[in-house]
Amino acid sequence: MVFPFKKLSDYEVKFTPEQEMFREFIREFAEKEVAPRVQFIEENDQVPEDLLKRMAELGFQGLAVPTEYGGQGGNQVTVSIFSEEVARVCPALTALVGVNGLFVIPILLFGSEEQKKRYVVPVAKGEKKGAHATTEAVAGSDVAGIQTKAEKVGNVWKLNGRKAFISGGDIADYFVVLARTSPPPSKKERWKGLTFFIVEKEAEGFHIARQMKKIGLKGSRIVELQFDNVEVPDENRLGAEGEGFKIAMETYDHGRIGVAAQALGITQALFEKSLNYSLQRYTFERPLIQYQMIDSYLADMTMKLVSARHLVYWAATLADQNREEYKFAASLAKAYATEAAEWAAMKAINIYGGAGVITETGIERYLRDVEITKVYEGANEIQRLVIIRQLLKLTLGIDITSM
Amino acid sequence: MPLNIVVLLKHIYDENQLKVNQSTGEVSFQGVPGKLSTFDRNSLEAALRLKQKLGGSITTLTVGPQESERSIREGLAMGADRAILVKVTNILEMSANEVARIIVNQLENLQPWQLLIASEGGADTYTSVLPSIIAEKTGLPLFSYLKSLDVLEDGTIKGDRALERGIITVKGKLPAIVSVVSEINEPRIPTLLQIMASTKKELKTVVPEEQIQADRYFKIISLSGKSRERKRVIFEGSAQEVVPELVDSLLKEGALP
Repeated sequence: MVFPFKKLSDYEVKFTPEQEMFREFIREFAEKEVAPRVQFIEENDQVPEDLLKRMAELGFQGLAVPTEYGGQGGNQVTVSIFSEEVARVCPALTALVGVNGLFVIPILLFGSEEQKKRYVVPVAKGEKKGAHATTEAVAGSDVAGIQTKAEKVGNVWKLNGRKAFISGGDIADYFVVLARTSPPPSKKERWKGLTFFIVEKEAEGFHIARQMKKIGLKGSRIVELQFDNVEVPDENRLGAEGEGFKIAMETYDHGRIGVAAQALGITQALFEKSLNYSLQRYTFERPLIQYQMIDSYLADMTMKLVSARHLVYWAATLADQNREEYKFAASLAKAYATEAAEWAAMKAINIYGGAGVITETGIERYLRDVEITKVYEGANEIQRLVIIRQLLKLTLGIDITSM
Repeated sequence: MPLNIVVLLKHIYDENQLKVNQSTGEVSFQGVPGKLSTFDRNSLEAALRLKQKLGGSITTLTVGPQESERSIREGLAMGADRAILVKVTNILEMSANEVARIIVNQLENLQPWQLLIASEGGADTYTSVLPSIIAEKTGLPLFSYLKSLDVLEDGTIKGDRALERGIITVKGKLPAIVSVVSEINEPRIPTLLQIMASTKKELKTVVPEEQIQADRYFKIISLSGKSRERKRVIFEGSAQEVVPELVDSLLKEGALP
C-alpha cells in the first residue's frame, strides 16, 4: 500500500497527442494574441472586448462543456492545460474564463434539461457570459454563513441581500446565486436550507452595487451585487430546495484544480524569466548564474515547479477518472501550487533586484496576482482542512467533524 | 466550382531548439522535437480559405519519416480533409529533386485535383525549389511567392507575387502549382473540438513506389551551425549628423542595395 493510496499506478499521469497539440496551440495563442495586450490589461484593469470575443470564438468559454450543450467536450486535464498556458502570460484571463466554469458546472451537475439548454449553451458558445455569486462580505469559505435570503411567494422566489467579491460580475449576463431559503435546523446543521437560483442581469431589483479595487489579477474585476426583492421564477431554482450547500461544494472541487493550474502557469513564467535573467545579468563581471545563492533559488524554484505540475495534472487525471480521491488531490494541488507560485514570485524579485519591483518588467505583477489565488476557490487554510478530512474519510472511513 | 486542393506539408526539426556545439559548430538533432514547417501553415490556411469560398476538399501530402504524423495531425486539426504520408527515413539527405519525384508520383494517384499549394520554402533547408521542380515535372504553370491568392468560379487563378524588387500581379487558369509567402495570411488556431475531431480523419501511409536513388547532383558535404557576431556600432550625435553616417556604413557593409 502506497499510503494514502493503494497502488503506485494511482499516481499515474498520462497525456494524449491531442492534448500535446492543444497545449502548443494555446501557447501560440497566448504569446501571439495575449502577450502584446498584457500591459493594456494591467494599466486599464480591463480586457479588450475583441480579445474576449476571440477567446469565445476559440471555444475557451466552454472547454469542459459537453458538445451537446455547445461546448468543446474537453475534460479537467484540458482545462488545466489551458489555465496553465494562459496564466503563464496573463493570469487574469484564466480567472475571467474560469468564472464561466463556475456558472456552468453547477447547472451541468444539478440543472434541469431546460436550464442547460437555456443557460449553458449560450455561455459555452461564448455568446453570453456567466458568473457565480455565493460569497458575501460576511462569508466566503464558510458557505453556510451567507445571509442573502430567498422567500417563496406563490410560484416565484424573492431574493434579498448582497454578494461581494464576484469575479466577472460586471460583465456577466447570467448568475448562479446562493440564498438561504429556510433557517438552519440546528447549529450543527447550518449547511441545510440553502438553495441556488439562476438570475439574469436584467431582473428588476438586481444591481451592480460597486466595483471592489484589488491588488492583482487586473482585468478580471470583482464587484458587489445587490438584490432588492429580485423575483426569480421557480423554474430558475437550480437543484432541489435546500441542496445549495452540496452544489457549492461539488462546484468548488472542480474549480480549484483550475486555480492550481493557474498558479502553475505563474510559476512557469517566473522560472523561465528568472533563469533567463540569471544568464544575462552581470554583477561584479560575472553572470548571476555563477552565484551559488542564485542557483539555490533557481533549483528550489525548479523543484516546486515540477512538483506543482505533477500535482495539478494528477488531480485533474483523478477528476477525469471520476475517482473519489480527486477532491483530496485537488486541495493538495491548489494549496501547494499557489504557495509555490508565491515563493517563486518573491525569489524572482530577489533575483531581479530593483528590476523586479518596477512595474514595467512584469515580475511584481505575478506576486500581486498570486496572492489572490491563495485566497479564492477556498482559502489555503481551508484546503488543509479538506486534505486531512478527505484523507481520513478515504482511508479509514472516519468523519472527524462528528467525533 | 468545387476545388480539390493538394497542400504540401513538411515535418521538420524545430529550428529554434537545434543544439549547436559552440566550438566545433556541429549540429545535434538528438532529442530535438519536430514540428510542422512554419510556412506550411500559411499554405494550408490559403487552401482552407479557398475551400470556404468554393467548396471542395483538401488533401495534405507529406514526404518524411513516421514522426511526421504529429505535424500531419496538426494539418487535419486546422481543417484538411485527409492526409497522405509517403514514408521515407532519410528526408534530410534527399535532394529536392528526389522529393519532387515522389510527390509527382503521388499526385497521379490523387487525380482529379486542380491546385497544389506549397510554401515559399521549408523552415529547415529553405531550398525553395520544390514547387518549380514539381511544375516542371507536371508541365503545369507555376505561380510562385504569392502574397495574395484568389480563385474565381470559372477556374481563373489570380495573385500577387512578392518579389524582392516589387510585386507582380499574375493571372492564369487552373490547374496550377502555387507557392505562398508567409505574409499571405495568419494561420488559424483550431479549437479543442477540431483537434479531437481530427483523430477520426483519414491518414494514409504509403511507401514510395520507386526505389529512392541517390541523386548524383546532390550531396551534403557538411552541416554546421554558424554564429553571427553583431557589430554593436553606436552612432552618437543629432539625427542630421548620424543618419548619413549610418547610411554610409550600411552601404560599405553591402547591407543596402
